Amino acid sequence: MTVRFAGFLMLSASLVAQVTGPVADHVRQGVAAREAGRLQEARQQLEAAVRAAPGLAEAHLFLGLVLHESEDFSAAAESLERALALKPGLPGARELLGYDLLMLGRAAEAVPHLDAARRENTDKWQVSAWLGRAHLEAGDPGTALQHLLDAQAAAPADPELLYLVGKAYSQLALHSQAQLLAGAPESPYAHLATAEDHDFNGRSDEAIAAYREALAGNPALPEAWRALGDLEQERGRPRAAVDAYRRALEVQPDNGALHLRCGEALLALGLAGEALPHLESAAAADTPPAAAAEALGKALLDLGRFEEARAALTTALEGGLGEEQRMKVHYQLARVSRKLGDAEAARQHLREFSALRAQLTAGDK
Amino acid sequence: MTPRTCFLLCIGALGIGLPGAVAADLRFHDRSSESGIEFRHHANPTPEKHLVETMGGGVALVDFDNDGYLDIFFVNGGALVQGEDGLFVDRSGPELHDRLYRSRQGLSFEDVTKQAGVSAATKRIYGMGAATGDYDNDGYVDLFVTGYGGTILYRNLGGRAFEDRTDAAGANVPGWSASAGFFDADLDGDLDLFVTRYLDWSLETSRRCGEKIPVYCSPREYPAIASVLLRNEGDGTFSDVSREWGVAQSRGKALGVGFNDADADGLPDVIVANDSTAQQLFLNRGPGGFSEEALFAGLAYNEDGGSFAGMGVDFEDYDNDGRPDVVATALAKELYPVFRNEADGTFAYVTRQTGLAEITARLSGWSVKFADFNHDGWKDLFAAQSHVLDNVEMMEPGLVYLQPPLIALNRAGRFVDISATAGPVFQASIAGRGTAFGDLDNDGDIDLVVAILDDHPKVLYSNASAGESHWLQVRLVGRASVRDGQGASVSIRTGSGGEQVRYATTAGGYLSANDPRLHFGLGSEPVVPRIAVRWPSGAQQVLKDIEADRVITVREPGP
Repeated sequence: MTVRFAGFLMLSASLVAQVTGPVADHVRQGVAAREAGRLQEARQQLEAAVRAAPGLAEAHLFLGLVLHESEDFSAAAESLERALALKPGLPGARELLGYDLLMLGRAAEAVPHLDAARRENTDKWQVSAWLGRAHLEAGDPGTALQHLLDAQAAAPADPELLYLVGKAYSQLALHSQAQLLAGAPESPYAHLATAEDHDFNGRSDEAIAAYREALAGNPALPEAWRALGDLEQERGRPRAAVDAYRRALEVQPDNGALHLRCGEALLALGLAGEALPHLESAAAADTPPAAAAEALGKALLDLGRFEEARAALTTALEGGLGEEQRMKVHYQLARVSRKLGDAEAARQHLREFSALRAQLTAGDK
Repeated sequence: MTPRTCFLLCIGALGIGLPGAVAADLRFHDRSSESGIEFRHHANPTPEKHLVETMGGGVALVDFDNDGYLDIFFVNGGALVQGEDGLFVDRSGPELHDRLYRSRQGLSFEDVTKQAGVSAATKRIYGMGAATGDYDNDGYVDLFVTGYGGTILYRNLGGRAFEDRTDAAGANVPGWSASAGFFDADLDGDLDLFVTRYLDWSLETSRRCGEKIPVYCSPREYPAIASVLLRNEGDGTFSDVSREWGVAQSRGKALGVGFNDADADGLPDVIVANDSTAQQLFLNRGPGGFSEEALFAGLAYNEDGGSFAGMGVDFEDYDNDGRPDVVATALAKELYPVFRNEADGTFAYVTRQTGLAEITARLSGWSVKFADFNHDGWKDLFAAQSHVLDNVEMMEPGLVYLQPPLIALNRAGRFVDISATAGPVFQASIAGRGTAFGDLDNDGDIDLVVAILDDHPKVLYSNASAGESHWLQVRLVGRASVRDGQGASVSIRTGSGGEQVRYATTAGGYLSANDPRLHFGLGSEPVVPRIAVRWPSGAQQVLKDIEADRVITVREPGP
């Protein structure tokens, strides 16, 4: 986002109309130099103009604009402050000053100028964005987020805005978490927040301990049971994972994703019979159908129900899987086909498997 | 429930096939310090982290003097030294020699390396593993040593010493060889030799890996290479028949090898464990022909079609259905894969169903063996362990480099980890590599010698025979078949109707060679009603009502 000073033509016309003699010459030459991109020359002419007519607010504004465009934000801010001291309602001056103060890292000082600029120019989303950024840098992520979301409504794909919105949410989260940890450090939610932080940062053992503390305080936290199960599964402890998923399912018995996880953990234990009802529930619920069908196929394969396994795995294959998943399902279908005595189908699946595998391991020697 | 599923689940519940669960609590006593063994493996790791430095070494149990007690041969690493023409392997210092220890009736050992002539002091071979077999059928077991830079064939001179016959016999395998094994591939009555090769790697092509922290390179950084099959010509020489017999056409990154008859056709087949690429199953199609069939047989990958770091491998019947199954070791998070022989030309990946998924999720293994350590009639599982990266803790928090060995008992096809109670060594974090399995003190149970990277080995004695359970060992002497009986299949039927099958081979595990005697746990049964031997020659032999708790010698019938 850069500043586009829309009132330039009006400003230069107004300024030229107000002055005569040598001041007018400096202003005219300054305007011409700026239009030609000779910013240093424009600056010299406008500095001469303000020396000759120091009470002319528009001249200070014009000089401020040229200094801003020269990225000399400090000098620009001084010039703009002089302009506003002479004429507080001078259009465009607060927007520029707010932006320049923001660029100078003086976010708290920028806020009132940008707030005023936003009121005088409500359809310019960039001003809301700068105001949001100023609040963010001034340590008020809540207010920042409101302005940033206003701006985002007009420019939903602007990368800088997306970044700022994310940063505001993140600071809000940290702010809330700090309040939680300071105000109720032993509450289940404090442990949950700590657990999630450990989990996010890959500290699995600490995360598991904190989840368990949270759940000791409040066992009705299915998301904590689920996260605990995921961590236990990742640490190669499927038995503990199953226990956690089962606790989550006590609270959310129709959650297909939980059934899928529980079924997969039971499969990891080699308990296909126990996994089957969970995987059937997952397949029937609103879970990614291919993933549920793939796991269901594996359970049926373990149980020797080869025809049903083939049907489930074929469903999985038709369910829009990625290449790695398709490779896996072709390999399993090859086994099912062999067990069903269909050697030709087995070979066809192995060909598909080998082709996908060759693609996926192309970097290996 | 299918008949197959019912069979697996029901045998445990009903006790059919179990000779009786009377085994004592299994423990292994560490007698390393009083064994007289002073050998220490020297990897001499360099800052450059050449991959060869983290892969050794092996150990062989070999009764070289035929006194009835197993002697121990250790393969050392070497030192990578900068010479005028670049790096070379130095073995000259005594600390870098391979070592042979003669057993003093099983409980202590004396170093006889010098008189035996097996130090490899003049070789430029960075040592890896060993294989054993009586390749010249003279009644004395011979030795084959693998490594980077070549191999060594030692012929046993009547139990007094060994003679280096490598060049004369045409038995030098170039490159980087790992596990090897003798087997009679063409059933002509003499032992051929299968030599796995790990990577197309050399000191010249060795790379530095790791962006900020140096690490041993992944095998994915180097090209695969074919293993080598040497045919015994029967005149003391070998010929490389890898291409002719269908082995050279399939490249891999091989570390482990095992032999058994996968498809019950009477011909020895070969399983090869490969690191991070497809496993290989070379099915023997008759004299002079193998075809690699792992993919169709369901053995090449895990159940999801993913490769794993196959290190050690064993090819034995863990579920007592009479068909050889496969177990391999792999790295943490890959699980130790178990493939059950489905008796229809295919194998099923049953790692989860055997309980090994849960046990091995965070483990990284090297040597591995199915053997009945507690004499209950079911083959248990042992693995020597450690991650391959000596700084894995810096790479991936939660994983560890040094790990204790694993021992898991087989409860009717499902494994239970008993490491916590099996002795202090199972709590000791070590860099376990090769392991040899055999009855060191001739008390009937299976003892262990664990080779440790850059450290002293562990000599571990089992207490299984001190319990009330019975055992039997079978020593084979071939006549038309190979003299040491490798390739024979021995099945026993117990009084309770259970059947166990063992295949005679000293290969299996990682870089190591095992006791040639076939061991059976009998539980509470003092007599074996029936023993059937199927010799490689095709001869069949049945023995009846054999008393337990002894080593019997079975000689192949014939003129």
